[in-house]
Amino acid sequence: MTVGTRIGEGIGWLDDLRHQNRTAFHGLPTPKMESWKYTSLKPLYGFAFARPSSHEPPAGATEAALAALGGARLIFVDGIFNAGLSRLIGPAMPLSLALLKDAGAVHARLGHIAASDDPLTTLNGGFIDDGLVLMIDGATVEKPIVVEHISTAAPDGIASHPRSVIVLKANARATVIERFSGTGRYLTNPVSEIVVEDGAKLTHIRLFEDSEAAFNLSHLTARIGKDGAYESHVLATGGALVRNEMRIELAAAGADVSLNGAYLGRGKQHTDHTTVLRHSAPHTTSRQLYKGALDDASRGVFQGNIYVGEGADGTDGQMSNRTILLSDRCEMDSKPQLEIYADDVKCAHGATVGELDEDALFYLRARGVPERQARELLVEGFVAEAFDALAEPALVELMRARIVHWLAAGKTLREAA
Amino acid sequence: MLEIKNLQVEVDGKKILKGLTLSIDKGQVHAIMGPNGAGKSTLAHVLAGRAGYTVTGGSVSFEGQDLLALAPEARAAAGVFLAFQYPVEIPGVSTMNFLKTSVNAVRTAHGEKEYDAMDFLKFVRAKTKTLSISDDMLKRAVNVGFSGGEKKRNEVLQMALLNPKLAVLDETDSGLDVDALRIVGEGVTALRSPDNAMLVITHYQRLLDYIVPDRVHVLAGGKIVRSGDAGLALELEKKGYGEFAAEAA
Ligand SMILES: Nc1ncnc2c1ncn2[C@@H]1O[C@H](COP(=O)(O)OP(=O)(O)OP(=O)(O)O)[C@@H](O)[C@H]1O
Ligand SMILES: [Mg+2]
Repeated sequence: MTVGTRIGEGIGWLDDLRHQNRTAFHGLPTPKMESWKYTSLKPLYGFAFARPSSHEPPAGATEAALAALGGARLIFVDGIFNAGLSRLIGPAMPLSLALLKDAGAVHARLGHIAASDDPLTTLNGGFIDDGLVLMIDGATVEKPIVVEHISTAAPDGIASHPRSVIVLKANARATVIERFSGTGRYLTNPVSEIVVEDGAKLTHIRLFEDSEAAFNLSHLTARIGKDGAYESHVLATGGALVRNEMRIELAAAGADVSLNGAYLGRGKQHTDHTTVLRHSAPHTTSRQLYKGALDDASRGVFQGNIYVGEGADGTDGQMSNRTILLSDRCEMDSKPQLEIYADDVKCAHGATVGELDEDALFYLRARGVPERQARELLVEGFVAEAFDALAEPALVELMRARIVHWLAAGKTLREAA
Repeated sequence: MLEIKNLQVEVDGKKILKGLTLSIDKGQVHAIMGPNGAGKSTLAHVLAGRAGYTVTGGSVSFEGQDLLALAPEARAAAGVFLAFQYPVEIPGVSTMNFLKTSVNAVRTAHGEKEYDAMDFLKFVRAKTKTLSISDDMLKRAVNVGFSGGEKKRNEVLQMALLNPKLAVLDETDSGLDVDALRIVGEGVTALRSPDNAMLVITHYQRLLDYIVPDRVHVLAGGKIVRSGDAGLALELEKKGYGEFAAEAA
C-alpha cells in the first residue's frame, strides 16, 4: 500500500486525514455487522489493493450517450483525473484541481459528514483518490454534469477510492450523472459527501455499470437543509458485487428526498441497496422506490431504513421495494425498517417479490410479440417505472435505453423463449 | 378459413368444450351466443393459444394449417386476432410502445420492414381518430386506469392496426355506453371485408345490429347446440337459453 503520488500530497490537513483514517481502519465489514448480514465481502479477502501503473482507459470506455448531453464532463481513470478526456466548464472540477485552487474551501467540507462508523468510508479516507468537487452558490447549472469513473484491470486487482464533495448552497440547482464502468477485476470504493442547503435541489443519477468481475462499494452521505431536495436515480446493472449505501439526513423543515432505484442481475451478480434516511426535523418528506429483476443465480438485497427522530413531527416517509424473479435460482432479501420517535407521522413501507405476469405475457404474444421480446418488454416496463419521477424525458430515455441494452445482452431470457 | 372439428378442451381436469364443431368461410361473420360459463371465452383462448387449456380431442385448422401447433405469436402472425373479454393491464409499458412493438413484430414475421417512430405515428393517428382514442391514452400504460369502454376501444384499435384475417371478438360490446357501442360497432364493421372473417362472441343483439352475422350459433354445455341465421339472435334475446339447458346437460 504505497502512498506514492496521491493527490494533494504535502497538504498538511489532508496528509493528517489520510493518516488518521489508515490508523482507524481495522478491516472490511463482516457479516457480524447488522447491515452486512446479506452481503459478504469474503471474495475481497486476500485482494491486493494495488495501485494502477497506467491510467489510460481502453478505447471506447467513455459513454457517448453521456457526452452527447453537452455539459461538463469529468473522466477519472482508476481514481485519477484524465484531463484529455474531460471537458471542464462551469463550477464542476476534480478534487485534485480544487485542492490547488482553494484547499481551504475543500478542507471546510471534506470529511465533515462522511460516516465515521463505516469501515469502507474509513478505507476511502486512508487513500482519497480524485473525484468530483462541485460547489455552487445559489446558481442553476442547466446541463447535467457528467462524471465517469473508469477502472482498468490488473492481474492482482486494482483499487481506487474516489472521493466526491458536492455542496449546493441556498437555491442552487444541478443535475449530476455518475457512471461507474471498467474492465476486469477491480475494487472501486467511492465515497460522496453531499450537502444540499436551503431551497437547493440536486438531481443525482448514478449508473453502476461495472465489469462483471468488479466490486463497487459505494457510500454516500448527504444532508438536506430547509426546503432542500435531493432526488436520486440509481440504475445498477453491472459488477460482481455492487453495494450502494446511502445515508441521508433530512435536517430541516421541508426537506424532501426521493430515492429511486432499479437493479438488474444475472449470472452470480450481487446487488445491495442499503438506505438510511434520518428525518430529524418536522415536516420532511421522503419517497423510496426500488424495483428490480433478477435472473440466473443472482442475488439482490434491499435494506431500507427510515428513522424518525424525536421532534420530527409531521414526517412523511414512504418506501417500496418490488422485485421480479426470472429464475428459480435467484434470491432477494428485502428488509424495510421503520423506527419512529415522533408524533403525527405518516410512514409506510411495502415489499413484494413475484414473477412476471403470465397474463400480460400472453397478451403481448397474442399480439404477435415473440416470447423473448415480450419478456424483455415486461421487465423493462416493470423496472423502468422506478424512473417515472425523472422530469427530463431525455434522461428517462437514457435510463430506459440502458435497461433495454442489459436485457438484450442476456442469455437466460433468450433460452426461455 | 377456420375449421374446428369435434374440439374437446379441459381446464384443470374439468371438461369445458365437449366436441365443438364450427366452420367459418372467408368473408363471413359468425356470432356465438350462450349462457355464462358455457365455454365461449375458453374457445376464444384456445384459438389464440393461451396456456392452461388442455386439448384432449379434435382439431382446429386455419387456412389449412394446424392452428393448435402454433405458438401464440405465430398465430397472430398468421392473422388470428383475439379481442380480449378482459384486456390486460401492463404497468410501465406505454400503449404507443405496445402497439408499435406488436405491429412491427407482425411485420417482421411477414418479412416486411419495421415502421420507424414517425411512420408509425402517422399510421396510428389515421386509426385513432375514428375510434375516439386520444393521444393521452396512447401515452398511458397499456390499459392501466382505462375505463371499461376505453379498454374495448383499445382492443378494436389493435385489431385495426393488425388487420387480421380472422378476428375473434370476445364480448367486445360488453360494458359500453351507447356512444361507445356505436364507435366500436362502426369500427368493427369497417374492418369487415371479403378476405377476412369474424367470430363475434356476444350476449346481445345490439352489436349485431352493426355487424349483421351470416350465422349465429348457440354454445351451451361445451357444444354448439343450435345454429341459424341472423334471426336466431333476435329470438334468443327474447326467449333466453332455457330450452337449451336440457340439450346441454
Ligand atoms: N382455471 C379454471 N379451473 C376450473 N374451471 C375453469 C377455469 N377457467 C374457467 N373455468 C370454467 O370454465 C367454464 C367456461 O368458462 P368461460 O370463461 O369459457 O365461459 P364463457 O362462456 O365465456 O362465460 P361468460 O359469458 O361469463 O363470459 C366456466 O364454468 C368456468 O368456471
Ligand atoms: Mg367469456
